[in-house]
Amino acid sequence: MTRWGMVIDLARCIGCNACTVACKIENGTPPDHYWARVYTEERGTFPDTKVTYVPALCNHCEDPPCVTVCPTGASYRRADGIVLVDRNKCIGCRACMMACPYSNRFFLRKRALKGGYYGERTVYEDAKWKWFVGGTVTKCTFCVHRVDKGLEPACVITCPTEARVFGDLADPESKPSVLIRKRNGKQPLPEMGTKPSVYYVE
Amino acid sequence: MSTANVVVVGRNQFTMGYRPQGEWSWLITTAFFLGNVGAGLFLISYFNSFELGALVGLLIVGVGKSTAHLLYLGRPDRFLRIVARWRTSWISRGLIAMGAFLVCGVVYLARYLQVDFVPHGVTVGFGVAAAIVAVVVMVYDGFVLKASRGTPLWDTYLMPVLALFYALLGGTTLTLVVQAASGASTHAQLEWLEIALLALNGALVSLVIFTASARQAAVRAAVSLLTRGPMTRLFFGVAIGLGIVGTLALVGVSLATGSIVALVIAAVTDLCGHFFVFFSLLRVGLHPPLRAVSEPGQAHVVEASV
Repeated sequence: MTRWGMVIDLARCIGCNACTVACKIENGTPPDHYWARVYTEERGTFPDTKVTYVPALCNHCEDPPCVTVCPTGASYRRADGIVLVDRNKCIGCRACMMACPYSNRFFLRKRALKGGYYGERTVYEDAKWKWFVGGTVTKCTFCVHRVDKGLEPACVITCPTEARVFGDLADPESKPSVLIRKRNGKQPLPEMGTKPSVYYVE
Repeated sequence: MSTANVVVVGRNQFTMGYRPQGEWSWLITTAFFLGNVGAGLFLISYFNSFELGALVGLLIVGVGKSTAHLLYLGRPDRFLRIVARWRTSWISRGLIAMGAFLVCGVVYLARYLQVDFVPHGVTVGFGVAAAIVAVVVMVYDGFVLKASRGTPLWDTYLMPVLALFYALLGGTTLTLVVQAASGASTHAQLEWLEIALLALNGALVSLVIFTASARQAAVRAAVSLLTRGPMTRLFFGVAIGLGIVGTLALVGVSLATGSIVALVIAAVTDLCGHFFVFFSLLRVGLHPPLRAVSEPGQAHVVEASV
């Protein structure tokens, strides 16, 4: 059984946010919805400081707390491990947002879809926003529409340094599995017990 | 840890840090509060055979809590879907309990509402059932908070316990007020119960604060915002000062002098405290940073407003 996952190489990420933009373009997410982001992490005290760029997206957890708390079944996990929200079932209670430790869910207010990014809606926005329903929660889909066609997510193919590696975690010889094994891949916030499908290597 | 070391970043700020939940606020607090005091009032009135109080409790839950929830939902037109996931979701269980509570409560009060064809035995049976589901309505909000793993401050069994005892306190307070307003004789035992519950709730809130040091960094950070951050005045001033200490003093005065005015003011201060305890706890809910927790001296972006 396939289990889609991703490995992010923090040593390669240069913080260019190309993944952020690629996600926006591919999914046409409304304003303030950043399914893919790059956090800047500063450590140390001047002059001994270090900056690390940490890309973030939905971790498509094996034990997703967002699915457990959802009262309607709108949040669900597919057999291949991708966690999705059924926009036609979501009631906008936002319990999943409280349950997600990674702040990877976004509430889409009804008014957000009224205008476009810059006033009137563009043809592009009309085309993309028909997939969104106001008053519901949205999140990264691992570009499921691409994955189902055998393609990789937009953030992965766009990354200029190949910091993101996508593949089947259930296959021990897949690229992400090998990376996790060889470079001691770590899941974010493992103490939460959510078993994320996104790993980080440094 | 002082507030200056709590790195709280905005939801869409691309910086590592604690992220405050910004979605559950006034309306959810109102819904939780009305559910607590309504079901609490019903239960206390039930045990005191005070039907008017039970009816007011039902109305608070049926009208007040339901309206607050519907106003909050992004898609209120789909609210019936909530019952779908009762096996895993406390929100589902809560709605089912609310529905059962309202049905059982109305049948229990049928004879009081002069619907005489309902047999006495039936009203008694439904009364017991209503009292049982009232307890579920009182505590389920606490379990909803407990189930929110992403907000570690709430991820403790203290939340349902806090919800239960605050509901009992609110129920006792309102029973006293409704009894006084309707001219029914008030029981001194209820005032003593109120004092005991106030002391117990004070202890429970203290427990939430003092056990934080032994829990995750995100809990310590949230408690720091509560005790030394932007919510401090509301928390210590209204929730604790007015809600616990002030109410204790006023109930003492009422007990000693039999003053109805003192009792009514005590009810107002108690309910304010009740509301703001939960409001404060909701507002300081923080999601942890994606990676390591910032320690003193490592914080660069400080934005303590939540």
